[in-house]
Amino acid sequence: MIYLRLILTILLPLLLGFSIVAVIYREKTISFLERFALAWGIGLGILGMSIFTLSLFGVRLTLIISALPSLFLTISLLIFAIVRKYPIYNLNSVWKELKGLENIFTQPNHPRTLAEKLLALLIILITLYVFFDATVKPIVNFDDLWRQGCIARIIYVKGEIINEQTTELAGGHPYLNPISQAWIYFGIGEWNDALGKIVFAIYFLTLLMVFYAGVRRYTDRFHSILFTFLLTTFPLLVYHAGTAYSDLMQTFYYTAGVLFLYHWFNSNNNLTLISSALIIGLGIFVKQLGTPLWLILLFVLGLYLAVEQKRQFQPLGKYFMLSFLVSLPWLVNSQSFILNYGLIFWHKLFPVANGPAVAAVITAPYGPPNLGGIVSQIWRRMYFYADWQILWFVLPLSLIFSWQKFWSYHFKYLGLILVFSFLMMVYGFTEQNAYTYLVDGTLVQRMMMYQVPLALLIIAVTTKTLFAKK
Amino acid sequence: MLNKALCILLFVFCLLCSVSFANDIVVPFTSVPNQPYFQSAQLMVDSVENNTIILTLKSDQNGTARLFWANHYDPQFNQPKSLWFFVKSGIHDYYFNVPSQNPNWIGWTKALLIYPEFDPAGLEIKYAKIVPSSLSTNIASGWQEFWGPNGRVVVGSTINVTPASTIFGQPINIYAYWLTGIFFLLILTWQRNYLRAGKLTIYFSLGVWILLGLSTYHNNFGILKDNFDKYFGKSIEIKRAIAYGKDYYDFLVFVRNKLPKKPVSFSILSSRYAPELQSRIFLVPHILVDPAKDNPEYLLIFNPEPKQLELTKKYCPYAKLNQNAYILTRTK
Repeated sequence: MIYLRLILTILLPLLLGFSIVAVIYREKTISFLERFALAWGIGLGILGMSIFTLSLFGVRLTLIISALPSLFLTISLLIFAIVRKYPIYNLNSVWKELKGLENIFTQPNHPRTLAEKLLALLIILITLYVFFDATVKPIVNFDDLWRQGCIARIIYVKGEIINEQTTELAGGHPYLNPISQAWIYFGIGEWNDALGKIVFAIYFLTLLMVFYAGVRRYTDRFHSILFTFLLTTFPLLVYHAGTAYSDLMQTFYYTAGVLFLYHWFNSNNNLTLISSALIIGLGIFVKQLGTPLWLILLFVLGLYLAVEQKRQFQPLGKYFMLSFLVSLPWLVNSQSFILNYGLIFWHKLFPVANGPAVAAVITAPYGPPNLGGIVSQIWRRMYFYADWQILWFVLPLSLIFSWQKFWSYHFKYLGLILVFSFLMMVYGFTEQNAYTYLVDGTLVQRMMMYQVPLALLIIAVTTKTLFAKK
Repeated sequence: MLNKALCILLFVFCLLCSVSFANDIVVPFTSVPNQPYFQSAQLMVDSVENNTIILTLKSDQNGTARLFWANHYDPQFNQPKSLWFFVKSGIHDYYFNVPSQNPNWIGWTKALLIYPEFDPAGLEIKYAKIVPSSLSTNIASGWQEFWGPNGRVVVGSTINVTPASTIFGQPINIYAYWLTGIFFLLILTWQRNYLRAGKLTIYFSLGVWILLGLSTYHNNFGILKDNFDKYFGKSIEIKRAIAYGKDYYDFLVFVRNKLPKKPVSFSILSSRYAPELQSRIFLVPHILVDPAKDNPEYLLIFNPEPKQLELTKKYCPYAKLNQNAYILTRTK
């Protein structure tokens, strides 16, 4: 019975997401894998944001109350889509894609198809493993227990999101993660922290889907399967899918946001721009870092428009407005990154008596941060740990030997996003507290996780000619 | 004539073997009463000359263990002077070229200690010796080190960082970088075509990456087996009891049943590592506060350290589970 309730609980955000994607894409076809991934990301994001907004108005949360706005929106959009004859999911395309995937296993054996079969099998195995790992054990890790999981339980027990207990626990962290877990508890009617983590396993699956479909747009099937397999070889990514930390969620929103923006660079299809804006906007509600990552994308989009589109900045305005509006309830909250850091920055410029503390300096055993120390620490973590295998070695290698490709397909903008993200990391670690987390290894690999699928995409597309069939 | 030559060769080989055996230092181990480890007799071993430890262990289960040593610079057994390794069920030989894995194998080695991280009753040390390294012991040591627990077993810090498996103390990534570099140079020398060499090098590096990925899959399979044995098919309450520790979980259930229904403030005093992590989430809607600053309404006491009990002066008994696990309430 509990598993049936769990499935129904997962279905609502998925259905909401499917109906939103149906209305965005209308008659246009979109890969089922992308449609599913977008539906999950957007559906759960909008559901979470609507629950958060209800809570801001002082509504006590229950299953029915939490579900009502999403249910209303889903039904309205479904009716709209059905009346307009938009495919909610294109059955033909689903069938075609499933047939295509099935073909991997039915094609006659020669080395290439054999490799495809093997890699696809490994990807399926690791996905099954992730679902097992997430749902078999209760939450056991530090932040799971202390922050995200605890806030989720408070939301479930008290029916409110913002209160003294949760704001103390959350600090400046947004609430999509705990709300998602609390939504599962509401749905199954009990605090079952093992089943609550199914959310993160689904994010892992959708990350693989959106990555595979993204790479598939530019390369052949073997290449896409190979690089999706390589994405599953990162131990930290797989481990996080079995915990309740927010980093995998953030990785999904950021990767999907960047991928759809990149698709827009290459296709000028406005629907991919809308998808990117929606998904990166919802990413602001996952972690504090969601905001600077969003700002980086805005900046790179601005640069792209200035250089490639003769300063036609309307898409930037639309992109900004859509991503801003979708995360508005959080952005105007006093805990949000922009208001918090904006205020601190303002008081740095114009100091006043009794203003907020600029930064609490803790006594750390590592001495004050310096640029050389920060860079060498990040370098060490990139190259000598198992977290990202040999990704950061193969990336420059592929760029050296396929450098011509880097200048086609607008790769330079993806490169810029990577560079700005690393600069943001370096800047972030110049603060004493953050520097401590860099040296003791608490934060740096988790921050790097957001960039990893992007770096892998660059390798996949730059090296595609190497693997082309003769 | 040939037989004569063979006999001489065999004789020389046996002589060399016996000379090398003469260098072996046998290390007798004994189980320390009431302690979960095994300690060697006093030794006086030159660590430069004798750098390889060979253990023959019999175990009735799989698990991890630590090998510590004391030397004349630091006669204590401590983590910086230790190696972490897997123990397999059955009788197996374990090889450690110690200085290649830990730079603290220096000076005169005074004693060894083996600490199994599982029930020590199931472990027996059949034989132990310290020897000079040879090609075969080096290979065995490197191989076992690579498949050792470092980076393969989930520990507290796994959520933040996964160390790479090592060979001779160096992360496996370094070997991957060197191999790729050497491969590129070889192909470039052979084919004299920069782009062709580059293409093959990328193939090669992706191949290395796939092998590393399969090694990670192997680790995941190990984690799956552990979690399956530990949690599969059990109720969420039993799973929490396993994750928190049975005694502590029973105490938290006791507290949940005894505290008033309306939210109250509480603190926990315990010698456990970070006991507030589980108590805070488990006892929601009750509010965890700082015992020294916030004057909580209830104090939860679970295997406390004597010093912690100084904070209980203003409190009186409220409910008791046992001698070491009880609740105090604030006196007016």
